[in-house]
Amino acid sequence: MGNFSALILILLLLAFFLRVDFIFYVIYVSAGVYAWGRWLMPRAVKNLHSARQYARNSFWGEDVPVTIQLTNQGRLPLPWVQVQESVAVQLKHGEPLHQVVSLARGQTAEFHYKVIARRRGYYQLGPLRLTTGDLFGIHPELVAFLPADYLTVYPHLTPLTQLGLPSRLPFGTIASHQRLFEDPARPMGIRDFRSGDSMRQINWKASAHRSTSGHTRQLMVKTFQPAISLETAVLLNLHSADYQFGNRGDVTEWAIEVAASLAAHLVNQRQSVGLITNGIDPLASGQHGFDETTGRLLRPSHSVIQADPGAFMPPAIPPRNGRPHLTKILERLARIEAEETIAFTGWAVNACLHLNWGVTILAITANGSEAVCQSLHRLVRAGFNPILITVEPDGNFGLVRERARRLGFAAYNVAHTRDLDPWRRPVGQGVIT
Amino acid sequence: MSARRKPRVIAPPPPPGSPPPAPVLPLDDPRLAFITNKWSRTVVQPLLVSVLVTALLSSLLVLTEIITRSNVWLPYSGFLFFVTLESCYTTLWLQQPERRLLNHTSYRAAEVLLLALLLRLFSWSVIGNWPHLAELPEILARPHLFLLDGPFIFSGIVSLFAWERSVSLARTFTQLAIDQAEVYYYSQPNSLRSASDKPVRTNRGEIVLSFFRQWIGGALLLAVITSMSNYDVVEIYQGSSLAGARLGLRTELVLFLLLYFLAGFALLSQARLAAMNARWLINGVTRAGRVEQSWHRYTLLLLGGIALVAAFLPIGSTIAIGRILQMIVWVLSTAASIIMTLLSTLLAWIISLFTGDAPPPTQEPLVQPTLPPLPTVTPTLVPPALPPPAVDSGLIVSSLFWAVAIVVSIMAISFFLRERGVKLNTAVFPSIWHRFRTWLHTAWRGAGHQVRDWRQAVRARLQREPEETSANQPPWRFIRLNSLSPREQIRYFYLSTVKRAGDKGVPRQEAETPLEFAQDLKQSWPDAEEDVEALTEAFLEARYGRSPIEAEDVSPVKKRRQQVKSSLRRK
Repeated sequence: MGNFSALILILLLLAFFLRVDFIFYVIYVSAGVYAWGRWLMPRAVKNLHSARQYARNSFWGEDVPVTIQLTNQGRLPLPWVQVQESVAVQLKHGEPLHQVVSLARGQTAEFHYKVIARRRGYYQLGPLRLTTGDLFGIHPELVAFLPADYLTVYPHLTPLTQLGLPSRLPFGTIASHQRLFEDPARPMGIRDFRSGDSMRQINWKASAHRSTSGHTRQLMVKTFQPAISLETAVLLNLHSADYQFGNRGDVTEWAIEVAASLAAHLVNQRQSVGLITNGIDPLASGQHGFDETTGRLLRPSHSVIQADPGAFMPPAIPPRNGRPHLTKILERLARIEAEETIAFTGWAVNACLHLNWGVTILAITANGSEAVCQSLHRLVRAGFNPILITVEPDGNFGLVRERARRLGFAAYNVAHTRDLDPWRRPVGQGVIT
Repeated sequence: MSARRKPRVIAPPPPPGSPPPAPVLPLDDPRLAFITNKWSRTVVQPLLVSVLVTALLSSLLVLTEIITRSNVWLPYSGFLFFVTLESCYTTLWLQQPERRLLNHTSYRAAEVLLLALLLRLFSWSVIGNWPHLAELPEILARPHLFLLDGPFIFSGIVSLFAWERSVSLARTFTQLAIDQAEVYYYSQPNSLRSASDKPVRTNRGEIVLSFFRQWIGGALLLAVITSMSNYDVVEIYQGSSLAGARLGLRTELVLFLLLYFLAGFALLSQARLAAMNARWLINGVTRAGRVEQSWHRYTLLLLGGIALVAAFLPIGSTIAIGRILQMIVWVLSTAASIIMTLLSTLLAWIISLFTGDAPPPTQEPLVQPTLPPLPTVTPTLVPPALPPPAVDSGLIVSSLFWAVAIVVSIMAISFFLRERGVKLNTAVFPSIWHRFRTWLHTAWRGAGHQVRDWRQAVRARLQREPEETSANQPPWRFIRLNSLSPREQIRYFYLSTVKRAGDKGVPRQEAETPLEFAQDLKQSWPDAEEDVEALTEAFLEARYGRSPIEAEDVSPVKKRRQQVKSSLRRK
């Protein structure tokens, strides 16, 4: 409304030329209103502080409450502030945040809304758009933004109870049926001495007690619970060409869910878990964007990836234990995407070179082809304990299992959720073999 | 027990054959808060519009007062305020959905006619030239002279302009306000919205801008008027300098200027709020807290604060920049006038090159004064007597005019008032008629008594006259009092007392009035002073009064007469 400044100018000329002093008063009032909108409102907007509070990570299916605090730290009131938060469609839950509020000096307004984690991914929350203006519409509206924040939605986790996976590492925390791996730190009971028992296993107190009570002079030895250490690396194959074209998206998603479920279970069992994958992490390149509609992290274009696939492949996460480590793995799995990078057969052996001897490698891939089995056999020969987990439905999986057995590793086909049922039974009811 | 009122809901009536309506909004729904609150819509905005328009046009009245050098114009600002307020409320009233079927043009015409009539009355009362009854023939014959005079025409034009402006502004704010159809449509989820229910989108931003431009235009006009009124325009027209013709700003203009700007800012804020409300509603924005109240509060605080600060700032010519700018303006205007003079001189010189030397000015010959011719006496011719016009066509036209004007006025007023719910209470008429009949009956009876008195008096006179003419006056004692009317009896008492006083040596002179004679009686018989006064008063009432005298009124007078008579006897 440029007419307003013209009015002030004309009034000024009239006042000076015709020497009507009272018009100056009107000019002052008009100029005051003009100045308030022109200079003071932008200052007031600068003193507007906002913050977004929410849980940065979320499990699949959870509601995530988000709180936005808007504080007017300036000395001038803001008659109206329109607050609009951009929320991804896949996260929307209930009414979006789109409100208008009036803020006095020093006043804080709080806005609450919820998002729901429907699908794994790395999402953008916001930006928060703040619009305000003067009371008369003389000046254009002022717009400010609270930068976007990010929310990681973990993959869907299927709770597992017992895997029953073989291990070559003793002295772990997982009970085993292999007597070879008796753990002296886990005494289980006593028995009579037999020939060949180690002298260090004799329970001298129990033997003495038994002899003084007049029963016998038989020595007693301690028995220990056998246990294994299942240091594991999840080798997740996300080379899209290894999967059948028809349902590639769903199967790779399922593979990621299986990997996440296994990792979560093993960490809960206080085992060390690592993650090695040949998928791509869009954040790895340092340049990323978000889909305006879904709010999900955008993957780079195919040509860009093909130019340098290694740049987008995330580094391996070495096996560690503990919750923070699991969070790291789950965050990686939340962002990871299948892409044509390096085929499993050419990548698996090299990817495991840095692992310790005897580590169990959970190789999650599409199928148990001859080439895949040969790759895993090479890992066996390298001293690892590979286990093949295929995620595509396979009617002749018996052949794969037999092939794997002959090559020295176990193989499982987990194509559906029901295939995880044996691992979800209560402890003691047996596991799949 | 009183039945609990059901909450009212807002929804347009469903068209026939439409599917069952979706759940509608109860009145406490927060989305309804977007509708401009009733207080602002029905009180604040009409008042502000009226103040704005009245302030603008009243300044014109002040300028007119300065030009015409009379002080009759400013009172019209009160009428202007009434006109603007009335037109605002009528506009709001007409915009209600219930008035869709009303012929707005006719109603507006009736409103204007009614306002014109009121203005005519107001103008007479302000100027003080109410028509007199003696002017009735002239009024009937020449209605235009009676109805149309300068002040009425000028104030009529100004009032019409005020009416148009306030109607326009009231419509502007009605358009800016969110209607219930918009609330109904935009408050539903997108999936439930029907395309046929979608209200027509109003470009409220453009409306606010239009109002803003109108306000700016009015402000410039007001500034010019204010500047002009600072000087005696008539003197300037007659050649005085600006400095010499300076009058100073009148207090009323200061007030109008201030009111115009403050009301304008307040209205601009209201318009902006209405536009923002509509935008928020359409975009699905939820209002948290009391945004509207804060909006009004901050507007008041801002305007009040700036107005207060501005009051302490230096005014105009007292600041140095004022003198500097004035000097710059003077230099520029001087330079412009010099350039114009040079250009005109140059142009004249170029024209003279083509037309040759101008002829020398010719001197006008002196004219000798001559005596005017003496008037000659010529016999005036007596025009032949014309026959009286058979039919006066002017009278017919004026009669027709009055008939049409009266009928149209009555129709307009009744139409205007009937639609506004003002209805005549017909039950009053029988009561008025009954009172009128009672009054008429009483008057008729009074007149009958009067006639009867007159008849008796005439009859007595007629009976007495032959006796007076034929023989000597008969003695008074032979009159039969019972045959006389009460009025005549009282007269008899008085006259007999007069006669008796004459016999006692205090005669009534021919030129003496009853009251003068009563003074004589009181001087002679001071002890009968009160009785003489009462008797005289009763006589005057009986002789000159028109009120009926009943039989029971006679006896007190008779007693007074006895008292006076006994007093006369004692002397």
